[in-house]
Amino acid sequence: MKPSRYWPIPSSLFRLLVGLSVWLLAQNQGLGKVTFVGNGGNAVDYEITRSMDKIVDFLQIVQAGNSLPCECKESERDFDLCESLKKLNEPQRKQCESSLKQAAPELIRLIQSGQIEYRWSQDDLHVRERHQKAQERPVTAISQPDKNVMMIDQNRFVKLSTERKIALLSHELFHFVKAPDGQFYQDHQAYSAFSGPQGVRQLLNTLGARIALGAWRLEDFLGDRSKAYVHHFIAYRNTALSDPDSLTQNLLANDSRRYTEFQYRYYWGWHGMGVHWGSYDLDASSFVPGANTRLKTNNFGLTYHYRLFPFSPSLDEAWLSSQLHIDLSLGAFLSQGDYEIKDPYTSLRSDWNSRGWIAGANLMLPLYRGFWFIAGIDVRGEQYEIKELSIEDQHTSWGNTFGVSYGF
Amino acid sequence: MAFKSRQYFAKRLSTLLLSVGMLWASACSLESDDSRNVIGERVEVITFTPDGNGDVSYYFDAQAGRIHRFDLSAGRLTDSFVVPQPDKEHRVFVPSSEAYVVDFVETQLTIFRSDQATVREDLNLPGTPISAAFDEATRTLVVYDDLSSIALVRLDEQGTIEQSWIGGPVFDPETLVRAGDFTSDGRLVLSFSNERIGVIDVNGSLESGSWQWQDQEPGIGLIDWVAPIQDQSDLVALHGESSLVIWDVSANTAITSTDLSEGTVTYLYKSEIPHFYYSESGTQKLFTIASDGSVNSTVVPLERLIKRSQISADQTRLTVGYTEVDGSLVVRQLRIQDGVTLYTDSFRSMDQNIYGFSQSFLLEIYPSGLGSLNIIDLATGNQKSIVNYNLPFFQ
Repeated sequence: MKPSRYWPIPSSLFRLLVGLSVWLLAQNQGLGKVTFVGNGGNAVDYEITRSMDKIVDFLQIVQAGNSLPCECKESERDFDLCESLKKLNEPQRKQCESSLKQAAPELIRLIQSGQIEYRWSQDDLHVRERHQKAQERPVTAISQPDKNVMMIDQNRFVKLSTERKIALLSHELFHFVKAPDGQFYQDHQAYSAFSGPQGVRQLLNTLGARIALGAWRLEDFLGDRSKAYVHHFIAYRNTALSDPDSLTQNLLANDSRRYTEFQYRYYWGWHGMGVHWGSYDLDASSFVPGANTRLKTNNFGLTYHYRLFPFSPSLDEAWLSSQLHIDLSLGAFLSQGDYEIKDPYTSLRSDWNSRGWIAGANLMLPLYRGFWFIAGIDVRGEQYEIKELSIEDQHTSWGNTFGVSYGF
Repeated sequence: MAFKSRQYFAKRLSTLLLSVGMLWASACSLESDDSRNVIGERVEVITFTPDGNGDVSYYFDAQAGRIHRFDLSAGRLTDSFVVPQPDKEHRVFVPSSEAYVVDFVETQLTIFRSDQATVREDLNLPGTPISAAFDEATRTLVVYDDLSSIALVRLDEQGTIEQSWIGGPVFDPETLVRAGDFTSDGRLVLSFSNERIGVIDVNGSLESGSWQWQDQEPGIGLIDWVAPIQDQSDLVALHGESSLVIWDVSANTAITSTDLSEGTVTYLYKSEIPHFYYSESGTQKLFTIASDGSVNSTVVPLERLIKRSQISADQTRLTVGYTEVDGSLVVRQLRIQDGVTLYTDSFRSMDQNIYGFSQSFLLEIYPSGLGSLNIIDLATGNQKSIVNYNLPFFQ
């Protein structure tokens, strides 16, 4: 028998390593706070743990007394979560905010105490509506507050997006909380401003959406990815302009000019205003043999901006789908500078004055910590004057733009 | 656009290289523009109008591919002509009346009028034109090439070529043309390799397409220089093997003869006042031929060999160009009467620039694509610059 190349690990040591790993994981992920009952635990447990952590993070802010209205921001209008929030009337909105504030401490306690037992079900779950006895409605989760048990249809749960998981779990958690009237929240009851036969259900759906939305705003889903909903942006852009023959053959030898530009933009919702200061410094061979041309200009401009968000946002890909946008701009600029053409023997220098319009379409790709990558196209119409050469002309140039931006 | 630009710059680069090459060739050592062994005056990239004080200059600017006319007194560019084949070496010839500007490139001749109209003609000369002479009265242009071929070109007032004919270098199987010029009344006098001269019947030669001439024998050996004498239509100055003769072509006889057998004639110049330099026993002498045909000499207090020379119309000032031992170019103006230096300047960057001077002005032209030159008034030493004159032509 050949000797083994592998040393067997003693079973006691193996058990010790596994136990230590589980303990470390539990410390990091808060597994100790949540009790699972199912097929011996599975990968979906993590989804609940993670969701519960997000819910607690948000509820702690509520508990701290912050004003958190039950409404979506303009920039969040395309979120699915906002469907229920947008339908609220004023009394319902106030009720939502009140219920959230009132229940927050108890919800936190429930989650952190681990008294709720989460049970995975591999079978479909159904509830029988009180007023429609003959019908059963398929559901993803069923809460039994008297038993401190939450049954979850694992197959349906795993298919939910992250924000829906949070909204669902938040909804279900409210069933374990008593309303100010001392009763548990039950779906088929009317409640305050939510006066319909399924009033509580509507309220809890709203609360679930609000908590999920709040969790998203807490950057838990974007992480340290850059966010589009901030108001201030500064940007550095570099634009390679392709000039027409009239300009290159009369004034410059190069086919292209390169502009560097600093921008500040302020956005409200989809709209924004920007100011930019740009400089252009070319020192290149000239259209005159043996001569060099130098054009150094400073540009100042004002632009109006409009942002297009091309994707329907999803919290699972929120960093990209909810933040990536196209910035459309239109504005005007003034330019002043020096034009010089020189060879080793003589030179000619003149003031350069120009003015014109600028339009652009720039893709804003979110990076990290407020930084963005910019890529796009610019087109600018420019009317310029070089007094010493008695030149007055106008042209349109196209440019490819790359740059970085920082939003705060 | 990119393809267009490459062509554009390739063309400009070739122009630049050509011009650098031309300047290098002419600047490494100062070449004399003496008029020995040519008909008329040598054609060069720069020329000054021979009448007055030479205050107009024509210059082929290789960077711009143009012949420029500069008014040196006013210090400005007054006219410019686009030449064919601008990437090639051009030579400029301008008659004293400035009725035409004649441009030579290879065997092609282009005549510019002041209204910018051009006449182009391929002369089909076997060689490269090296000199030309022009008779104002008959508007006859004679072009001489480096293979001793001669073109006779008759122009009308508009510069259009009425008649032209290329005469070979050989008059008969044993006779070559050596030198020549028009007399002040327009008779073409050529010297031959058989030590004789011929007074050419230009009309007859143009009509018949063969040389028609009257043979004469000055008896001074091989004649390498024929110069007209202002105000003396019958007289020409002839330089032979060891003497200078003032020759009457009508009377077929010598008026005066100067013995030059004891020394060496270095360079001979025509311009308005024909003159030459003669070295004898370490002394450099200037011989001038006055408008009455008299020959005078004076010692020039310079040791270096004079390669460029101009005499003022009043024969009081002499402007010379020569190279120093260290290679620098010196331009000096002397008072002929006593040899006192009136102006002197030295230029060390000869390998870059083109220099020329007339009786009154020194011109220093830089190889600038934008255009840059200095004009120095030899009488006052005042300096003017003309710059960026090429810029409009590139736009």
